[in-house]
Amino acid sequence: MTYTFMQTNARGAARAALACACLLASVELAAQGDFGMSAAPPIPGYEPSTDPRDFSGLWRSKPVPGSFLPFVLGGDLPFTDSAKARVEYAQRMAAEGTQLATPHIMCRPTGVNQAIGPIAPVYVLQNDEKMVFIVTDEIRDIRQVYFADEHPEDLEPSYGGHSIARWEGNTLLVDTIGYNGRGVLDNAVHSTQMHMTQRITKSADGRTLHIEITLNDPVTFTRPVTLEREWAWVNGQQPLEFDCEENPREDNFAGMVFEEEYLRPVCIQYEGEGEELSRVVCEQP
Amino acid sequence: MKTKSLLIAAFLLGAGHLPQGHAHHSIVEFDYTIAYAVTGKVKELQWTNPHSWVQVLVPADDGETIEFGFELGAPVFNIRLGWRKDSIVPGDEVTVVYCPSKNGSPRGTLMFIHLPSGEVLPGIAPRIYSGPPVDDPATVPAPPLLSRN
Amino acid sequence: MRSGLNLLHGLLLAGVAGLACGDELGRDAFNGVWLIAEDTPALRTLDGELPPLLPEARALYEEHLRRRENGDTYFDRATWCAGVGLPRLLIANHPFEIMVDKRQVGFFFEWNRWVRLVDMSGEELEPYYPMSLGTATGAWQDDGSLVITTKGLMHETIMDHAGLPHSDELVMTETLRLIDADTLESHIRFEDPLTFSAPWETKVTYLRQHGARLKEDVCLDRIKQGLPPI
Repeated sequence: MTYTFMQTNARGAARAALACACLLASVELAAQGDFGMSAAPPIPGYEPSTDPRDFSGLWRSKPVPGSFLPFVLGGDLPFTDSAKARVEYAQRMAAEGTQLATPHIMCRPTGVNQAIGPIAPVYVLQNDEKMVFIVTDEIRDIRQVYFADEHPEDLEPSYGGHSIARWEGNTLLVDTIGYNGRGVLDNAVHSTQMHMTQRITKSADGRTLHIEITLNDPVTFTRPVTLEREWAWVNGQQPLEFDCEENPREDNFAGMVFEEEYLRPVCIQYEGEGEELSRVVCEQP
Repeated sequence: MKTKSLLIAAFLLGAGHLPQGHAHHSIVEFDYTIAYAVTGKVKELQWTNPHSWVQVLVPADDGETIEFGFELGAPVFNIRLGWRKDSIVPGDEVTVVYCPSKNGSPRGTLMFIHLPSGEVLPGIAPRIYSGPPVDDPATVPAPPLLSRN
Repeated sequence: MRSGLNLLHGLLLAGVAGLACGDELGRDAFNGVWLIAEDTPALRTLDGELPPLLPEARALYEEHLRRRENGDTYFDRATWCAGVGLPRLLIANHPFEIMVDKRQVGFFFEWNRWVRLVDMSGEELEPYYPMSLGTATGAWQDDGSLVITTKGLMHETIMDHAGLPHSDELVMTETLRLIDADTLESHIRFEDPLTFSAPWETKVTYLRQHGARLKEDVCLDRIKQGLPPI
């Protein structure tokens, strides 16, 4: 079952009306198809392959019908009570103008979110051993998907989990486990039990990847959640760069609520007095 | 500290479906319905991710100097708007039109910066701004912050 | 004379064998996880000398050395986990993986999950703006080596742990060659007329890390635990 953004909700509708200025800006962005990302200079040599098992190249998430951003899953998901409480808490904080520190905002890998809905172009490299999904721009991410039947036994939990894949005909079945429990999924935090599976198929003309994602996390959801996404082929662009940690300005963190101590920054950049330039100061934990 | 989400989350916040994990605090911090203008000397350009910043030293009415910080987008976004890393240098006298921080601090998100050369460069705020026209900075009010007498 | 000819013959054969080894291994032999063979905190020329810094750059370098000795590492953006760029990631004590693809060669650096994509289309790409990894183009040579040219390296990074400075004008040219299946040699040339009085070169050797896979390295988590950033 697919969940759509902006489910019927009187409060949501009222807020949507108030946000009309933002809506106009957002429609412009959506029409550009780049979620506000800047297109980089082109590079040649990117032609889509019609080999159904060749996913290599450059892709971009398409806007999702009924939603706006590919990583937004919507407000009406089958959350467990604990997850729902967390979602509502986060929404309340946002409505009050309080920013909760999350792994995403604090420059940690985004794991499931990035797999579901990258907002920057995705370079896919492929050989007989694996397929690698790379985002160099925001949010920088690398996801290695190994052609294998089983996950290693000694998996070390990570933000991005561990991915294996096999072919079923010309559909790539990707299986990801091994999350470290710090993953953010919209307003929820998914658990270490998150098990993400994907079915990826390429269109005959080689210009679209159809991706069906199933999220199975009994701590977060009462039943599996299935989403559908499409990635469109992009002719080559220069890989750009995103360095999230680069400028840890003090005012970024002012008023931020750190529920998890590990997210509180070690290093902060303070603006200097008068003519004195800004400087970073790190406190040893 | 995610930048592109700035614009996106502004919409989502209003819609009540803000994915908290993707918001930037400045979404809720800046008032996009008003704009102020200041003139001062560039102290520093922080050409960085996730946001670039321009630090400007502005004289207040009482003769003291207040340092303002104006947020731009990430470099890749700024370049698309016509910026280069050396578009402004420390010491440049500039006039900045901006949407202010809601908490009254000397910070804002850049609408336009008027350079000594006459060039005008935009920030990312014009895409969301809903206040009065700001084409002529001379008609844009100064922030209350500068009135310290 | 005869012994001299034999010697020359032997040297020629050895040279040809060396070329054949690298070439015979093929491009896919570059794939895999590599780690620098020797600890390299400070870059030196092929002669083992300090690179030919211009006076202002030399003064800055010495300031960096002094500051690090005094425990002040804030000239080094690794301190707060910002990108350390190139060539630093190529000489750090952290593994990286090479993946040869039809359109690019990927360098996956374990340190804080940085990825460099070297474009192999043959086009000369102008850097969009200076970045920590710059903009890289590459070409395979007839002898099996891989030559990579990188421009647009932002000056805010330092070239090595010691603090060797550079400007946005730095051009780095790497010639990577497989000496054998497990040994990768990189001959690197640096040109930066704003920093160095002349181009200079160095050589780095990497050893294949059999069976290794890159870990998900999160620098911010490491420094939060009190571990060194790099």
